[in-house]
Amino acid sequence: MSGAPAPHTAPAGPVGPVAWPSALQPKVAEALSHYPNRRSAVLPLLWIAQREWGWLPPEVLRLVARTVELPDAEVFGVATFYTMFNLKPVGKYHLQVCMTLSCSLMGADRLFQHLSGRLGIGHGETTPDGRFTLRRVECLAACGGGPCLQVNEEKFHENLDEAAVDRLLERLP
Amino acid sequence: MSAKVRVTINGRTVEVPAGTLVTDAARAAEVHIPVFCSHAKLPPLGACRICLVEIGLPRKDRDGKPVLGADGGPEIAWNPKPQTGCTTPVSEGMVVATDSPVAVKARKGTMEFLLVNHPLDCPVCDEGGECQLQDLAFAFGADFSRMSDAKRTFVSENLGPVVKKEANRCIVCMRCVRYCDEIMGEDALTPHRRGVRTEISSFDRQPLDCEQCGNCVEVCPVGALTALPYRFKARPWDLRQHITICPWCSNGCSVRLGVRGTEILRARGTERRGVNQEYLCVRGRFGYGFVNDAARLTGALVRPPGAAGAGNALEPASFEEAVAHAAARLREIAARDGADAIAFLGGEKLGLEEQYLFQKLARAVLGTNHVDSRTRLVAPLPGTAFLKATGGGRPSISLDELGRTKEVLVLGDDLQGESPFLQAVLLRGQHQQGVHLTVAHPRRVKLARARFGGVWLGLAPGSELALLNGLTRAALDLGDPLPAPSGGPPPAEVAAGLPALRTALAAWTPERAAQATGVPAAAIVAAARRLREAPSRAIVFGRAYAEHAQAAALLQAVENLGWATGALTAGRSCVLYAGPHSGTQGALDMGLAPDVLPGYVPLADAAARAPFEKQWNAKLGAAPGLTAPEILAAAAAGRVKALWIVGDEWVRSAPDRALVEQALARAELVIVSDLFLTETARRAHVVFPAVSFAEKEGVLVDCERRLQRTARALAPRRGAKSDGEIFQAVARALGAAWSYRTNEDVFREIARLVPGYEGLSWATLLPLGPQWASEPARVAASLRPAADERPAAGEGLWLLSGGVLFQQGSLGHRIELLTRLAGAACARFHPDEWKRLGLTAGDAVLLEGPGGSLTLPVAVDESVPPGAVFVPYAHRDVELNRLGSPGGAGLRVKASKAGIAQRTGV
Repeated sequence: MSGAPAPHTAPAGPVGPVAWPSALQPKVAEALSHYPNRRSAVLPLLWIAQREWGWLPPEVLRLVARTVELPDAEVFGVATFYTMFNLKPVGKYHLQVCMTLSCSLMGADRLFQHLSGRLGIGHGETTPDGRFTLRRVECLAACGGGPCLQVNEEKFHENLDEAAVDRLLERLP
Repeated sequence: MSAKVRVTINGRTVEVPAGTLVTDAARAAEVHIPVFCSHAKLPPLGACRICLVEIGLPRKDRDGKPVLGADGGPEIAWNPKPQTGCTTPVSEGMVVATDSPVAVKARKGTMEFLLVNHPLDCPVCDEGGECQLQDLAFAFGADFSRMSDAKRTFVSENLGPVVKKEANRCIVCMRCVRYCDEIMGEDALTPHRRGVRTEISSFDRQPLDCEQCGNCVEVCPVGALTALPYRFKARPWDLRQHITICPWCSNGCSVRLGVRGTEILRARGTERRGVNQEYLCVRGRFGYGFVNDAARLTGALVRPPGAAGAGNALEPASFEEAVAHAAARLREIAARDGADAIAFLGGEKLGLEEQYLFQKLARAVLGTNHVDSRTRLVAPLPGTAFLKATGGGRPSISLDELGRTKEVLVLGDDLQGESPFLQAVLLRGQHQQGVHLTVAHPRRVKLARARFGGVWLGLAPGSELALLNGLTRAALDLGDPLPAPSGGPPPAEVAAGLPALRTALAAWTPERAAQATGVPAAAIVAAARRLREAPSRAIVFGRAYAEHAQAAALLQAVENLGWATGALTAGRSCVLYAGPHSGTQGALDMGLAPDVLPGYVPLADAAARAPFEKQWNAKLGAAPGLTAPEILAAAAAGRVKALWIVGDEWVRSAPDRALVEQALARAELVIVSDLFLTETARRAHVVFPAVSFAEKEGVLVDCERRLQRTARALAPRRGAKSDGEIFQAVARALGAAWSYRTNEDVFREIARLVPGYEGLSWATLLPLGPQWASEPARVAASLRPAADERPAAGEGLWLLSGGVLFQQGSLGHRIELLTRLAGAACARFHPDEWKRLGLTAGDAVLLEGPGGSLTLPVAVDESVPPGAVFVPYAHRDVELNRLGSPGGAGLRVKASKAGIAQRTGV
């Protein structure tokens, strides 16, 4: 891939009010049940929402605000405070490269440049086909295996170099 | 909190109440401690760190005794680190230094950090010249920066039509966010992201969906938030500042007008000044454009005598000609048909002195008692009705104290539209003082939202009286009216009326009240119990009850509830009438009602009347005149032949449009004084050009009965006269020997003559005037059944109406920002009703009432109950009185789909 990345056009947020899918409602109720008041459940509900929708479009933030009975703006503020909530759509694979000390010493920056060049996208950008989003992140707590990279929420890949990253990209379905 | 402690600040010792914050104690010691994040209305936060000071406490030995130093004084243990003065309460013997090396270094360091990313674009910043950051950088900042990196930058945003945001200037003090949340109850602003990238903005950077009050702009200590309407209009040092009273409602907020030349460029509040202490609503802050409107009248107009009809138009005349013409016609009609053929209407927007002169002109010069300021009344009410319902003139609590009562019942009014500051007082009280709100309103208005923790009594439209009866009965079931710790025992009239009231209310069991109102019986009982048992309580009502067809019964019922719950007897409690206009209370105080003289002196009382007859050198009629609705009917029937209407768009405000048009067409002489050629003025025979609130000085009485001075910010518009000058000129032309040079002369006469105002002078009313009160009460109390059960006029849906925040009176039509914010007037329906009528977005609906019909665009609104339609009354396109006058318990209208929406009316 080469040239400037085209704007990512994949999943736009829902227009108009959304509701919790019925399959999620027990999870939502359970999260709410952990706290003496509803507002305390804002972070768990943001997580549930992000897992469902992949990111947090404005209508979903409004849904969370309604559920925890907080003002919309306050929930928006919370979601922007934490860097792991995605306020823009992300690709199918969210590649998060650790840039903190150990990884940095072990060549995280080179790794990031390599990924960036190969995918044709920079920090926070998504490939036009909607497959990859690349992001620099702070410490992933895998300092013994730096440089490391996390794909989506699940998988850590440690002790990476350019070749290992290339193999990883090819392995991803 | 009354215990006092001594604290020494920079060597000055002051005594302040324990718990006072160091910054406030410093103010008492006349030492300046700079603040950004601290605000008089917000709890301590300590976010900005500019108030760092060095604090020491007396060193104590093991027995808790102070250790004495070499000089015999207590030895001071200085805290090793500087502390924030805005969050630290003082304690006995505390020593504070703001000028020690530690404090100076701390402040300089904070200042350096605050300026790391600040763009220092002062030359193009609206805040420049009155910016706290600029001032404090001048006082404490360094003259160079050690920072060589690029500053972090944000994109500037317009957050709607009012707020301009330049986040680069922001110092993240959080004042705007907290003010919006804790005082406005809007939560429209929030910090985005964190750390050095923190940026205050709205949800998803959308235009602010809020009251647009601009208080966030006001409290911003820097130029991060500025007001778009004032952007790049002036430098503050070019403005003359005049503090006067806002004309938009009865709350009496102090407003600081910024004037350049002959133009008002902005309005602001002032922290720690006035009842509002800086707060202004969107109308108060941006609603002054009418003063400089090009359409203002600049000369008198007279309709030449002769056959009515074509060609007989209003023609410009000199002021003297208009006065002579008005006086001659008034004299002629009085001579031919008697003074009873003349009626005076309006005056709720005048100052106190002008109100006094208006009724003096009617009573003493012309000899008519047909005087009424309450032009919107649907049912006749005595002039004492509102004072009686609020305790007859007993000492009331202030708005500040209202925000600290424990239980507040709001009856019938949407305070957001009618009394925005009152709403802010209650929201702040709810947030900071634990005020519990009970809102009785058919619609779920803002105050009744779940997040304010109150109780919404969503009564069925037209069942207001049933709810009050049910509440009163439930309160009386808990015992007799409370004897008061501070207010003395309830008056004899209350005790005397109790048995009859109990008998009459016997049938009003909670169950019956519940059936009539649709409010659960348990909720009624609980509300009555809260009111009665709270340590302090208040009952607030306003225009919705005043202009109700059953107003007389409702006001009696409010009074009954006041006695039954202790709101009229107990300490720190009150019944408050928040009238519709800035001069509503003053007009009643000054006798702009047909049955009372100024000071609520009954006309029928010859002994009480005597001082007025002596001062005015006139014989006053003992018989009460007609009330506004009666004047309307009498003029339409041809019995009243001359009308003088002051500052009131009667064509829109009288309850029945057809009748008012008939009245104006039939009257031989209609005199109107107003700022504009209103629809009413177009139908007049003589039009006087009046001046606006900003061009005259005088006194206004707000809803807490507080007298406040207004100031003249502008020279009168060329050709316009103050209403007082107009009244005096006509009085003199009619042969009266009036010789008031200023309104202050008039006020001196008022202070000499009017009970309750004795001994006051303009000089005593600054900076904040007193609330007038009288013991014993000015008007006798009563406790009597308010049985007035009647069905509503018409059939179909209940018509609900009310003021909305952005449009509340016809002057609002002249303010571009307010009309834009208000948007189109819509008939609003509950989703069920919407479905039943088969409406879709973009439709119009035809509303048919007993008097006529209206076509309006439609909107869905879940806050409107099913079986009703809500139409705001003040939009330009809504002439609600075309539907006819409400009768019985209200007005019902037939609604039917009327095709695609189009603009209606004029």
